[in-house]
Amino acid sequence: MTWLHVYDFGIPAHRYLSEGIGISRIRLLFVPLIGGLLLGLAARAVRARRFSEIVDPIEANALHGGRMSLRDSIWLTFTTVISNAAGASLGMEAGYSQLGAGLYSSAGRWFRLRRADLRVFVTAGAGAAIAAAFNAPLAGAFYGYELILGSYTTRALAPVVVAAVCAALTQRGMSHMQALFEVGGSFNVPSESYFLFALLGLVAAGVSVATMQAVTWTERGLRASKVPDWTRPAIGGVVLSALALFAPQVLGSGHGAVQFHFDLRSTLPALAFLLVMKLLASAVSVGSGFRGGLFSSSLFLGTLLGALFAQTAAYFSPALASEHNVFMLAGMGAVAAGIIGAPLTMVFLVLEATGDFQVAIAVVIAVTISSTIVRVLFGYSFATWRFHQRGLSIRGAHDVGWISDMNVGRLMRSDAKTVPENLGLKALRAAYPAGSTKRLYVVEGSGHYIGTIDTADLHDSEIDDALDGAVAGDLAEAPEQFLLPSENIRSALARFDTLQVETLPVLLSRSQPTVVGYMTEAYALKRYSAELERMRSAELGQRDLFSIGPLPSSKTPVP
Amino acid sequence: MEHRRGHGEAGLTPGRSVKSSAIDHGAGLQQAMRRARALLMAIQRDLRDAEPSQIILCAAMGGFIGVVVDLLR
Repeated sequence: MTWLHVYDFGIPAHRYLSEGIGISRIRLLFVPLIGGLLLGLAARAVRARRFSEIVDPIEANALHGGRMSLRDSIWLTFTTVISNAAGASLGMEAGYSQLGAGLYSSAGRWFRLRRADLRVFVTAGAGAAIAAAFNAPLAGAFYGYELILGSYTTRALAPVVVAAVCAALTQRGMSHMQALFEVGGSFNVPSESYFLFALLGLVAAGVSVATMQAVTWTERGLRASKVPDWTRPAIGGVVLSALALFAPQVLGSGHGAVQFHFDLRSTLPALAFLLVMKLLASAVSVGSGFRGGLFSSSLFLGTLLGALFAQTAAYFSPALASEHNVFMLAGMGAVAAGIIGAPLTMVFLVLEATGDFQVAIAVVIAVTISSTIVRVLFGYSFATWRFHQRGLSIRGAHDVGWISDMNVGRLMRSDAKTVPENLGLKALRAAYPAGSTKRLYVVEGSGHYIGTIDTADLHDSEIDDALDGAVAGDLAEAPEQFLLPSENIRSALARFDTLQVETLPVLLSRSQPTVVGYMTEAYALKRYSAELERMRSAELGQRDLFSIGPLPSSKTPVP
Repeated sequence: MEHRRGHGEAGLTPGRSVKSSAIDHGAGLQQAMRRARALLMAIQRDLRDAEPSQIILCAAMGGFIGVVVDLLR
């Protein structure tokens, strides 16, 4: 990527694009536009063949039991490379984690791993990629736990940590990269100033929400403009060029820019201006269709916010000027935690970059406040916000996909007793004596369902006098009470609860209402609770989690 | 084994010798393929049930991811 930036923008070989140094002005005007056009045309060509969105690691773990396409992952990584090469204000981390998770998912599927194990593999893949990208194995592992798996379990400890450590060590061995950022000086944060980090966390939450909302506003604006889909990245590229003419540091992921601001101090107005420009550039990049994530961008935004906050604090208390870098690190963690939704990851990222626990405490305070406010008031991280925009109700990577896999079609009994509506009740009584079955499903000549007969009602002595001439259709009740095979178990249980019935027929579809089976509430509840137990046991890697001693058998005398 | 086969072929016509050698090679290849497949299936079975094997695979693939990310950077 560094080579591509050198080639595309004419920057010196040892510089990062986001440092904003030595960028050719002519190329700046054309590269984002050309990159946007390429991306738009490539996306158009692919969209002609496929209609579904690419499944990312969070969605894979939440809905698909860890199954994701390697081909899609490679394609997404490729488009992320194009976007980043064109100078989009986004990081490569989304591409890295997609590729890592895709590779691990493919390997896991090849080895026919169980659902819970495959989810851990996807987590390990994404975590390893982030660990290598930031040279931070702990941050990578916790990125996996917090974002991709949705929880930390001892079962997932070894695979994820081992993958992250191996990835980081390999990358370290190849590039001899020591730390993510070089933050000079010693830190000595006065105890009485820790409340300022809470305040910084509060402001960071606002910046996080503003960034996520800005992405949505950009998307809505472009959609409302009715310009063709494939031209949107090019339009974004033009806007990006215009922003970069005034603030070249908005280009790229922001790694170089973060280091730049640790090394040199800018003025208060310059920092405020750059913060607004970077926020706009990131929103325009994502909103117009460039591919990539906000991980690095949020780190840079947070660094700028921290620097801004430090300078303001130093204006009131000059003693705080020496702790400028601590505020930058805390701001970095707080904004990134708010946007990415992984607070502990950010704490570990800073800890691995600085190795300083005093700084880590300041970062913990800012990160906790920021992520809590974003979670409570906004309710989403950037990833889940994107799902929300797409109409997916996923609030994290917790495995909820098994619920849709566990549908009525799989759970129903298919030996439903159907009777024709014109069958006489006398004949019906003879065919189904009392106690032979509980319910009969009445159908028309075409096979369409018209209601249910409770066999207790059929054999009720009160209707003995009316048996002559009466047919099954006369006793059929509740034609509107049924289930469909595609409904999931939660929906079915809710229906049992609302209708206050114990059994419901299952119809093929609303347009073709033939009886294909029936389902009882007791069986649905039994399967649901058994599946919940099984999922929890698998997550924790303990098959006998709910076995607490031998169950009393029927032969054991009750004391 | 190879040596004995060579002795056996000494009295055959050249064409027949080549054909039988090709059949032998084909059978050998099939056997090797069967063995490889059996080995892969055994690995699959082992990996599905054995946590340590999964951890080792994660470690190996982690190294690979490190290389890929470094190259992409």
